Amino acid sequence: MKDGKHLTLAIETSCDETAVAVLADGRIILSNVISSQIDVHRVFGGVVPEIASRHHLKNLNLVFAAALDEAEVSLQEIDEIGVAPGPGLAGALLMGTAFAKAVAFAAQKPLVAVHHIQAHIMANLIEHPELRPPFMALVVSGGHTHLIGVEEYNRFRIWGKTRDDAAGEAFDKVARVLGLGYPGGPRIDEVARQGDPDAVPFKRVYLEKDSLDFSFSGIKTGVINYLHTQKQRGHSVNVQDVAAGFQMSVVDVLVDKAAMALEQSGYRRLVLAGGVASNSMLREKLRAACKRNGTELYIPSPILCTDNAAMVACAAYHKQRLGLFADLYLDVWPGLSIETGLALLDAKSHN
Amino acid sequence: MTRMKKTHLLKTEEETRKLGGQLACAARPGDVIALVGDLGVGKTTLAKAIAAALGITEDVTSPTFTLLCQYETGRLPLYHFDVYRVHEEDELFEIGFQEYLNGEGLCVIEWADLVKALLPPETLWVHLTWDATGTERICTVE
Amino acid sequence: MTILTIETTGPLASVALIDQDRNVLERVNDTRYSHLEELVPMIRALMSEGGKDPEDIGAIAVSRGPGSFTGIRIGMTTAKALAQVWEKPVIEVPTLKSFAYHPGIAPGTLTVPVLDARRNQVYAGAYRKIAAYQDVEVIEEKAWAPDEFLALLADRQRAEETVLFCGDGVPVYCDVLNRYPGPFRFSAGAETVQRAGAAAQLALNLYRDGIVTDAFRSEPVYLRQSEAERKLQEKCAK
Repeated sequence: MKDGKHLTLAIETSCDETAVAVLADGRIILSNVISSQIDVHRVFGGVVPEIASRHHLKNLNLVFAAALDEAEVSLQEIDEIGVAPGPGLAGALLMGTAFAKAVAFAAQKPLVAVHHIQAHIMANLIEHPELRPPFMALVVSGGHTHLIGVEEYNRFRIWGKTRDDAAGEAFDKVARVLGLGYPGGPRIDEVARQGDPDAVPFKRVYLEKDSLDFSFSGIKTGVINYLHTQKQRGHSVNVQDVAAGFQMSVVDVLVDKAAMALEQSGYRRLVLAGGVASNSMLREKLRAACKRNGTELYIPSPILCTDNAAMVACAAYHKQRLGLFADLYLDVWPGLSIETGLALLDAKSHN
Repeated sequence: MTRMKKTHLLKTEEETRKLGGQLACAARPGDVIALVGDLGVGKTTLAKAIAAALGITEDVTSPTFTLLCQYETGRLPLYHFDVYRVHEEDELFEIGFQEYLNGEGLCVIEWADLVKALLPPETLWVHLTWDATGTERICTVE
Repeated sequence: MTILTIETTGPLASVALIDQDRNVLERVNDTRYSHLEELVPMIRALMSEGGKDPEDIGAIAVSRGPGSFTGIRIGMTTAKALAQVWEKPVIEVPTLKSFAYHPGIAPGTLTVPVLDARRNQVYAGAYRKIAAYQDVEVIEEKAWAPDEFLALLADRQRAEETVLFCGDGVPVYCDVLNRYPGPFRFSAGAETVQRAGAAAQLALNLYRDGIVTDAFRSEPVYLRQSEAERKLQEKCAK
């Protein structure tokens, strides 16, 4: 607690990033430090950052110090420590979880465990404090594509998910074959603006009737086959048109399935989360669709879409308000499914 | 034991499935299968075929972003890696890659040529390429 | 002044408190490879049992490897976090050397810890115990081919001493070890594996010699070649 504000510190070690954040009252970001973006000219505890990618063991102390330093709070003023012990890569998760447990013990602070995807969804509450459950969340990133119903702050239900590639992954792979570079999503977004989405139509895959699941590997293969065929015939390829056509075939499926999910669930609010949430065509078409059927739409800003600790802090803040804490026996859950996971992460009493 | 090189021509997805089945049947705990080939040539399709033949019922999704997807419902635990996004082998080591290679499951690694030095000498290398017409796949196993 | 010692490089995690008079209070986990779950609760219970508060702790010692990569990381991350929050120095304890500090090993023993490094390699070293809490390094710690290591050991073993093979590599490589030409025996009991109580004794020595670091700089020792080293080697070989 500082200046009347409740303070949450959270730690996140997804496979790529080492991240620590300090959040006030569940919505004011005092610091949101991500290892790949750390200022290498600053000095923490007499040590100049030498951040190595995915070296969580090496990075954690520095990122932790940087987060407190930037937030201008002391560890004593923090009210609880949040961490996401899953799902994710076990070898990466265990370091963030070990660190969080040790900090919680050493500083005598309560520990709160949240589900990584729950954190992605809750990121929206940081910028939209008026948002309350129940709502439907469309989580689209490089690693996930899910339609998740958030019934209460700590009660989630999966309505649909991908059976092969995640949407963000399809973007990245298509960007690669088109020679557009990395990261693929923003590149395709950019290039597609100059293209005609109807010039090279690609098949939209909806799977069975009424299914809310996704499948994007077929679209990816469609693009690759198209490029192959054109090359063999000696025809040139209009990259902008292909990018636009591909993008639209993915976005249409996402938008249509989101609408179906809203209809099937009866929810009137839709929340977007994950890296692909920054795609301009997706935002535009979702806005239009939601306007048409009177759904409230919530979209987070880009920094909150990719993996970060502020979203973990937000989820932790809301969980502790419900009195749900973890104990110091907390283990990692690399394969944690969202349905069974939430109960598992809550406190079991030990002496 | 001398390693033999065997070439298959995969015309259809059915033939890919058959090959996946053969690889799965021969797999023992601790085995490593390295999949090498360009984008779209069918590494993930082959990985899925291996998974199905091991009796894995869950959807096998691409691990490009997560680096690893693991499945415990088959005859052997399956650790399906995609190391495309890894820049340095040491990064993989730091997040526990070695422990899986030393484990009791089957490791199937896409883009394995990027991390060759980390893999054990008994690794089975599967190379997938397009044939001259661009319609069929050639697969060599060594 | 008390040192808190963390040992997670082997199958059983253990923690210990050691005071200036070398009195040790130790807790050992009886479940194999549950280090992440149990470590912090063990430390909490240990400090409570020993009646110690953070102010009483002079340093955090941690067994730095070699051993289980995952185990090393859990212990190290925990030690570095405690050290940062409590603002204490960190003592990096060489795991193989710590075997020589088992109380059950008599002075005059040539302690030879052998850990399984896979791919027909062992992490091994040799330490001559010359007093209850003192050793002399006879062979440096490295990832060795077993035969090469044993040949060197036979060369350096003295006439009147017995080699004590210990560590999780013993059952794995017992065929090779059984062919060792000099006088030897296999360990039994506590000195078979890594233990925080032994590591704590070595930690106190290091502390007194000023061999300490801090939360930011402390790091593990895996005894594996890094990518940079491997590439350099390949380059030189050409």
